[in-house]
This record gives sequence, structure tokens and C-alpha cells, in this order.
Amino acid sequence: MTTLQDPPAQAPARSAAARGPRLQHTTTQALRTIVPLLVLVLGLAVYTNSENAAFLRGSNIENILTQVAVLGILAAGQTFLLIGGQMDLSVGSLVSLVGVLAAKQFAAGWSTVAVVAFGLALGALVGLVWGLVVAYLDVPPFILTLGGLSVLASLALVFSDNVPIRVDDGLDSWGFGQWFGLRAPAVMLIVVLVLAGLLLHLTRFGRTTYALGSSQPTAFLAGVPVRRHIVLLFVGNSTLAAFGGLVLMARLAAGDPRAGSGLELSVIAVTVLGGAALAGGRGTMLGTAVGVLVFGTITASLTFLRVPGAYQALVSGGILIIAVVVTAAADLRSARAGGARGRSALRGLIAPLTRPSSRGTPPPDGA
Amino acid sequence: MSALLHVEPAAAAGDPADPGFAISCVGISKSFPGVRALDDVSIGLRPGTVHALLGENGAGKSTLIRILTGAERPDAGQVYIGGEPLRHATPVAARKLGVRVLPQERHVAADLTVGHNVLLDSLPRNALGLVSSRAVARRAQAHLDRLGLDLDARARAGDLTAAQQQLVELARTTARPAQVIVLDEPTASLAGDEVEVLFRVIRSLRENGTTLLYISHHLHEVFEVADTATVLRNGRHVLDVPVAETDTDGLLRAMFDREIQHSRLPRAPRPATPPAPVLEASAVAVPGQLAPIDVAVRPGEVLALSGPAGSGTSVLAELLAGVREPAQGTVELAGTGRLRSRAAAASAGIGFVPADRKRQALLLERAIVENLQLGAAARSRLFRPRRALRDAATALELGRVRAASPGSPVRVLSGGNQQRVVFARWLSAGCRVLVLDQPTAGVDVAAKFDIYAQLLDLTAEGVAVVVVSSDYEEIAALADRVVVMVGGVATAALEGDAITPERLYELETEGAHEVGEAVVLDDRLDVRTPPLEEDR
Repeated sequence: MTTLQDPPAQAPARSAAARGPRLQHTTTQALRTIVPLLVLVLGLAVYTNSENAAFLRGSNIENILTQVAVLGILAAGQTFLLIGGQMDLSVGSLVSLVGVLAAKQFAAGWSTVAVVAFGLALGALVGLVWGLVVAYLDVPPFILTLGGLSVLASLALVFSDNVPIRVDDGLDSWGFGQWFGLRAPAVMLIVVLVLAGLLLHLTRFGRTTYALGSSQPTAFLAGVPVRRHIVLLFVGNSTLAAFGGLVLMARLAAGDPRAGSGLELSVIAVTVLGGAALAGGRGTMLGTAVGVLVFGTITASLTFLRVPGAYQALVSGGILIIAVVVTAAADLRSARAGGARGRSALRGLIAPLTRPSSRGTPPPDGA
Repeated sequence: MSALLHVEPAAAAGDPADPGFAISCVGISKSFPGVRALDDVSIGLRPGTVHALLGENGAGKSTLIRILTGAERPDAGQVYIGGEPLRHATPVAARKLGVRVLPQERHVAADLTVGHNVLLDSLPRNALGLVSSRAVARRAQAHLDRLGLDLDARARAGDLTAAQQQLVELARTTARPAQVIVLDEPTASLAGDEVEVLFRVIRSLRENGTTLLYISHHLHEVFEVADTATVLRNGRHVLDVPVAETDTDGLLRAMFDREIQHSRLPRAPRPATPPAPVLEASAVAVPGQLAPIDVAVRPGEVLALSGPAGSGTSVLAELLAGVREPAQGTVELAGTGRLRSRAAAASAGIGFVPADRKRQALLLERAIVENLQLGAAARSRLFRPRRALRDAATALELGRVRAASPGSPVRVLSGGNQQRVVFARWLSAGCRVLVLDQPTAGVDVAAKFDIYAQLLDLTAEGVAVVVVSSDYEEIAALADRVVVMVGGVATAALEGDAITPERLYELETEGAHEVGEAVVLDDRLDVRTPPLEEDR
């Protein structure tokens, strides 16, 4: 995802560069997270398929993608926030609130365009509030959006009188349509992830987000308009969450005031699983996509394997914990070894992909 | 260097394990990547004496202290405390043997009381093992009174002035009996009468048989309290002398090697009539940190701001770069007007190289290319990897960064090359003014001179360079003009060939003497500066 290109060929007489890593180290780092996850997904899929041959059928894969569409759309926004050193816990509640209000507007006879515009504007407004408070008052986003989680969840209950509001024919095509031969939510998920990936990795906005999360003072002194950028991150994330809320409403054909409750934790879980650091500065959109895939595969497998419902959360939570611990341990080991060694456990998997250089000596830790 | 001044280190130290020494070291050497910080240094301190450790910035004083107190291991040599070799060199081991340090930076827990801060590492506990705040206050107050410090043990430490916090630390350092106390620039934030209090404490500790190692930049203090003095220069031990047998000149001669004339570096001739200023600060002031001052920076010159930490030089540099806003006065860039924000200043062509390279100038874990194309230096809205790497390679050449591919993390570079990456960022951003805070801190000597040459080349292209430094030789080598600052006040200015390390040293010392009191009083208005992170 990050620059996969070699250093420029005309780099003059740089013997070190010629032998240097072919990938940027950040890419190598990301692959170290992503590759084991892909192995996990494949292993689980193959095993489940051996128990129940319907698992790897095209329709089921499409089904999995549809199931995780909202989660993935939210995760794309959260990836930007986490990389930028921020966080938003209110997205699940925002999904519920947007769903409820959109359903009410449909019931009141609003046009589809008006409802969609209203929903997205509501999201942008919520994000604007979070962003302004975080950027200008230095309030920790964790606490602020934790409060927001409660407030928005409660508003969703208030506006819906505590019961789901049926939507008869609004946004049907978003929930049940077939686009390009795939179900609409799956298409939206793919489009959102691809566009978010391009924005994150191939624009100045994306690179600035990494800089902000890596070292805010550095970004500030280098001339990044730090506050404006933080506001934009929150606005973008909440707008995307509102979009997710519309998609979920369309899929459920109802504005359910509890539709998004708890979603924020799954969103952060898959994003971190995909390699984004809660401390900021790290993560990739591909990683997030794979994290979402892991979540979808596990959930679907448990159903296919007829694991009783009560155990499902146990198993999926356990896999998340193990996956995160394993990556963290690998990271720690490689950090202790100075970043160049210590990936022996994963080396066999990654080596063919990354062709790591023969940097034998750990880097000096500076003066 | 005259042979008279050169003391055989071994002779000076005598038998290192001699129990007659409270603390001693033999043959200490220490290298950091690219720098030989200490080279075969041996000293020995008699009990009940005050020993001054002198040397200019970078001479190796801090490293020697860190080794003597167990914070750093020497590459070679041995430290003895009371005749005992310090085997496992850790701060804890050194403390057990009775060595305590009054650090240069203040470490006061702002939300605890003065009493808790004083007794932080030895809180009195009652029979149940609980800490009684009343007992803490009583004990701490007794100790503060004994030291003659006018402080209330029940006050919140964070409400004190910087100077009072320094005295709280002094009280903490002396709260438990110690064999050896190291005072690292203890007067840096003290005013005249507080310095007197400090000296009184030092004398009474000495009478009780404690050994003190006193590091200071101010020679007059050395003559006032020290019995003996050691001078380090470039990591070598060049002088050991009883203070009564020398004078200011003798110490200065030892500190600055006149034979290696690091005088002004060659540069393009400056125009006879100075061009109009590109950046002008008018009557800018920050309460408690900087008294109102006017500064004009002209294209094609190096303006240096000379002064120790806390003298206001860094604050002034931050104002000039738009990093913070002045409480009074204005900073204007020619053709742009007032600086509205750091981001606006950067895109208008004011580059800033902060002192804390690792935390404030670089994204250590990110690739070199990302460090180059950051903020004002990121020209295009799109990030095209192939093109970015090509541009980065060009920028690296422009910035004379050696041996690195733009895709590797900036963390693996040496200090000097990291600094060049920061320069390269601003060069590719095309800046008109470059403001640098301690540009060669942590950079080895050879790389230093490369950096100087690079800065002078920039001035030849019409860039205005502002350098904050506490390294007199650096200023003498670089500056066309220099403003000497003490305690937030500009006390003197020099131009051209008049700028010599000795002159700068004298001016700073005189300045501290004259303005000291009046200036540091100002410091009481507001000592709690917001850290930079909060100062967005």
C-alpha cells in the first residue's frame, strides 16, 4: 500500500541503496501484521469448508462481505483517526441515530436525495463538534467521544420512542440491490475501502495524517495546520459513519435505535487488528480491510460450524486477543532487535514477499 | 597550551582507591557514535570540599557527571566512591553509596505539596505503614527551616516560581545525609538572594564533611564557593587547580583553546549598506520569559542569539518563526505582514529547526522521504511514490545527506545526517528565513563544520539565518551579528570580528551579574510555560 517502488534507478552511486530494502520499512512492518491474518482467514475458511462445503461458495463470500459492510465502512474512517492519533467511540451510536432520523424523514415523505443529504450533513456536524473540541480545547478524544456515545445513543432512543421505525421503500437499492453482479453493500464496502486507501496512501492529506500521529509537535513545526487537519479527520470519519448508518438502515429496512450499539468496539478492534496503532502513526487501509475480513470470516465460520450462540463471542473475542498478542509480541521482538532482526517466526512467511535486505547490524540509536 | 596548566591526570588523582577521596575516577573514557565525549579522565575529590567542574558546552561535563553518578557506564575506567569501586554502575548503586544529584532540569511533582516533594523518596510512615501528611509537613518544614529556606511545606509545589522549585529540589537532595552531592548548574534559575541561600547551604554541607561537585558556567560563583577546580576541554582533562591559586583568566585560558582558532569562518562579502530586514520583531515580549525586545533579521546574514537555557533565546526564536504568538508586540515578515500561525509562517518561507530533533523535528519511525515532504515542504496534493522518492533523492543531495535510501526510516541515520534531513526539508520548501535552535546539539565535530558551511552557503543565496546557541565557538564561527541574552533580557550585541568565544563568555557573565536580580524577578510573574505540544 505504501510506496512499493524501488528507490529511483538513477540514485547516484548509492551502494547502500542498491542493497537496501526493496520495500519501505513501514510496508514491511504492515505486511508483518497482514500476512499472518490472511493465513488465519484462509486456514479458517478451508477448515470450515471441509466441514461444510457451502462456505467457500461465491454466494456465501458475498454474504460475508454484505454482513461486514457497515463495520468496514466505519473502520475505514476510524483508520484515519487512529493513524492521526485520534479516536472516535461515538460512531456506533451515530449509526443508530442516523438510521432512526432517516427512517423518520422517509415516513414524513422526504425524497431519497434529501434524506441522504440530511443524514450525511448530520454526521458531518457531529464530526465538526468533536473535531473543534479536540483541536481547540485539547480535550482527549477518548473521553469526549465516550460521552458522545451515550448522548447520541440516547437521542436515537428518544427520537424513535424506543422502537424501530419501519422504512417501506427508501433506499431499497442500497440494501438489496445488485450492482455489478454483487450485492450493493458489498460493492459499497469495496469502493469505500479503495477510495479511503487512495486518500490515505497517495495524497498529501493521507501522509499528513501519518505525520500528525507520529509526532504532533514535528508536524506543527513543519508547517502542518494541525488543528484544521484534526477537524477534517473527525468530520470525514463521522460523515462516513453516517453513510454507514444509512446503509444499515437500508439493509434492515428500518431505523433501529439499537442497530449500532457496540459497533464502535468492533470497529476499533478490527482496525487495531489490521495494524493501526492506538498511539497513532501506524496502520494501513489494506490492514484494516484484512481485519474486517478476519472478523467476517470468524463470525460466519462459527455459524457454519454450528457453534452455539453463547460461545460465539467467546471464540471471536479469543481469536482477536490471540491475533493482537501475537502481532504485538512479534513487533516487540523486532523492536528489541533494532528493527532489523527478530522476525524469524514470521520470516518464512514474509521473506518471499519482501525480500528483506541483509542489514545485519542494528541501527545506532543516534547520538 | 602552556605546560604549567597541563596537569598529569594520574598525579592529580593520586591513588584512586585512596579512601581519602570521597569520590574519584580513573582513566574514564566514553564515546558516543561519532563523538569522543571523554578521553582518559581522572579526578579525585577530598571529603568536605567544594570542587568546581568547568568547561564549555560539549566539553564532557555532563557525561562525566552521569558516569560518576552511575547513570552512564564508561567504556573504560573505574569510578570509586569512598574508596569502593562502583561495580554495577547504576544510579541506585551510586545512591546507596551516598551520591546524590541536584539535576539541571527541575523535576518537581507539581500537584504534590512542597513537603511531599522534599521527602519524596523517604516519606515518613507510621506504625500502620501509612503516610501522614501532617508528619510529612512537620519533618519537611523542619528541614526547610534548617536550610534557611523561606518555603511553606504545605504549599502546592506547582504554585511556586521556577527559582523556588529549584530550592525545593535542593531541599530534597539534602533531605537525607549524603557523602557526595553533585550540583548541576544550580544557579541557572536562581536570583541574587536565592543564590546566597544556595551558597549558605553549600558551605554548611561542606562543614559537615559532605563533598560537593559544583558545575557552573559562572566563574565568579566558582571563586565564591569552590575550593578546587577541574577544567575539561573536548573531553580531556586539561587543568586541576586550587581556586586560590588561579584567576578568571587562567580558567578561561584552559576552557578555550586559543591555539585552535575557531574564529569566523570565511563567507561571501557582506554588502556595505545592509539590505532591508526580511523579518522584524517589534517590542515583542512574553511575561516571565522575555522582556520587550526589537530584532531585525536581514537577508544574507547569520544572526545569533547567545545565551544559556532559559535566557529567552529559544522563546525569541519561536516568536520569530511564528511557533508562538507574542503577548505584546508584533513579528512581521516582509511582503507578508504579521505571522498568523506557524503553518502560515512556514508556507510564507520561515523554516524552523527545533532543538529537540527527535521529538519535534522528525518523524523517527517514518521513512526519510516522508520526513522530507512534510508540512510546507509537501508541495503537491497528491503523493506519487515514484516521484516522491525521486524528489527525495534530489533533496537529500541538496541537503548533503550521505548514504541513505529515501525509503529507510530516518531513525537509522546519525545525528548529523538527521539534522541534514531537517535542513533538506526547508531547502526544498524554499525558505527565506531559517530559524535554528541549537542546530549542532548532539552532532559530532566534523559534521558541525559541514553544517556551518551549509548555513553560510545559504546566506550567500540571500537566506536569512537565525541561530540560537549556547556554544560560544559556534557563534563566533558563524555569526555576522549576535545578541547576548541573560534572564530574558538582551544585555549586549556584537558584530563581525568582535565576536569571540571569550568575549561572549564575559558578556554573559557580566550580564548575569548586572541584570541578574532585576531580570529573574520578572520570572516570578509566570513560570509555568505551556509545553510546546499544547501550544499548537
